Amino acid sequence: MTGEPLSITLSVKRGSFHLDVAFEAPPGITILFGPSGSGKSTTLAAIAGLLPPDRGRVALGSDVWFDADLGIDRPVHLRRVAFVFQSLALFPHRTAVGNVVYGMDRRLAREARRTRALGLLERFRVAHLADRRPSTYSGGEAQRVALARAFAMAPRAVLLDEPFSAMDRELRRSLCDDLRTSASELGVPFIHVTHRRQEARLLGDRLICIDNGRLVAHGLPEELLRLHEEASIDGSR
Amino acid sequence: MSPLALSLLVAAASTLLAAIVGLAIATLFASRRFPGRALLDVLVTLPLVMPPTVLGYYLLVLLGRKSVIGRAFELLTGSSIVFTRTGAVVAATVGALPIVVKSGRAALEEVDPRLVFAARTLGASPWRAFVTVRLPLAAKGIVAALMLAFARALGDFGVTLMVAGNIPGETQTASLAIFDAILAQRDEEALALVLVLTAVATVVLYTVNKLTERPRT
Repeated sequence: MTGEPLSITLSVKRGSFHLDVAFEAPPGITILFGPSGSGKSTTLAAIAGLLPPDRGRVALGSDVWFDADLGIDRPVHLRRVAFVFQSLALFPHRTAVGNVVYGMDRRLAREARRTRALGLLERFRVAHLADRRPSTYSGGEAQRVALARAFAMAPRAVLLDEPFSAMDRELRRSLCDDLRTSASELGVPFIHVTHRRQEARLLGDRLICIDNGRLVAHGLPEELLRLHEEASIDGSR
Repeated sequence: MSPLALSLLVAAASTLLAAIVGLAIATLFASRRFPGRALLDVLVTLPLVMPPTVLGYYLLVLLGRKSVIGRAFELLTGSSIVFTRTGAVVAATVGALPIVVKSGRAALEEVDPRLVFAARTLGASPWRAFVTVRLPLAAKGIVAALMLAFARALGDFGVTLMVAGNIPGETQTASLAIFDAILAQRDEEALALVLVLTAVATVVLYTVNKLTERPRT
């Protein structure tokens, strides 16, 4: 399965902050790398449709989601783009299965949805949480349930906003592996926001550096991060 | 019907009415900016601070037998709004409404907006996200708001007196009956009603506090 690329041109003004970016994210994992406050999260929110850009265009292949000039702005729920929040935003009143089935096609029978959800939880090694609510999960478990929920909707693109920020190194490495596997299986564009070099290296097929609302570089993660280190512009900690 | 039974009936009916109207307004406030928002807020909150006689006066003008609404209602149902049980329900509703709107809105606004965003990205329409995520997560606060509204409706005196009168068996609710009993020096009867109303209010407040306690996380 090969998905189509996301092409993104955005201009967002919020007070004194000005975001102006244009890039393309083909299937695979594109890392959006940069210090906090550089506009990474704003970019993701605009792609998902959670925040209306002032100008620009967002399209998946030939399917236009937003176009300021043509007056197109497809509502969030019709874009089918999975969004993994930094806070994860798991529904506290639903079990793991309840969370995972939420985004599934509701024409599927209830039993079929549950079976699929259990399969996904199994794959992310959290099947034991099926009937438990998020308040009882560990950080890593919550993370895996959030990923299972995002993939259950058969997304056309996946946006991840620093989802591993609260994890320790070990756990982050293992989650990165899971994410890479899922990305190659789904074959759709993934945009992963981070300010960590390790994560960028482990995950990225491509890397885009963003600083103060502007694209400053794009290319292969290895090369860019080496340059980045040499120039010692510190976007990481 | 005994004053106490009548009070409970009127309070239940007006809580239901206030719930329907109030939650709609609370949702509007919690989700949208619209022109006239500040004005509507003041209008809905006014009953909290105005003298009951003033409120009663407005309601009489608005719903009286010569008013458009009053006449239309009488034409449809054969009975007037004012000086009937309907009037008692309207009077109690006006007092309960601001409580539903204020507390209901606070409960809805307390729900993490990111959860609603998450629902939307997972394919939920605004309505589905509201019904499946926002409303259930605000449920405790909304139940608390409705209980407070019920207690408020149960205790209404002034507006009810103005709009519904003090007709024994028809519009004489418990709080009005207490007034009558005191005037007629039927102290025991007054005390009995006082104790019942106090008990109801105490239980309601205790439950509301339990419901709105912050979870320990």
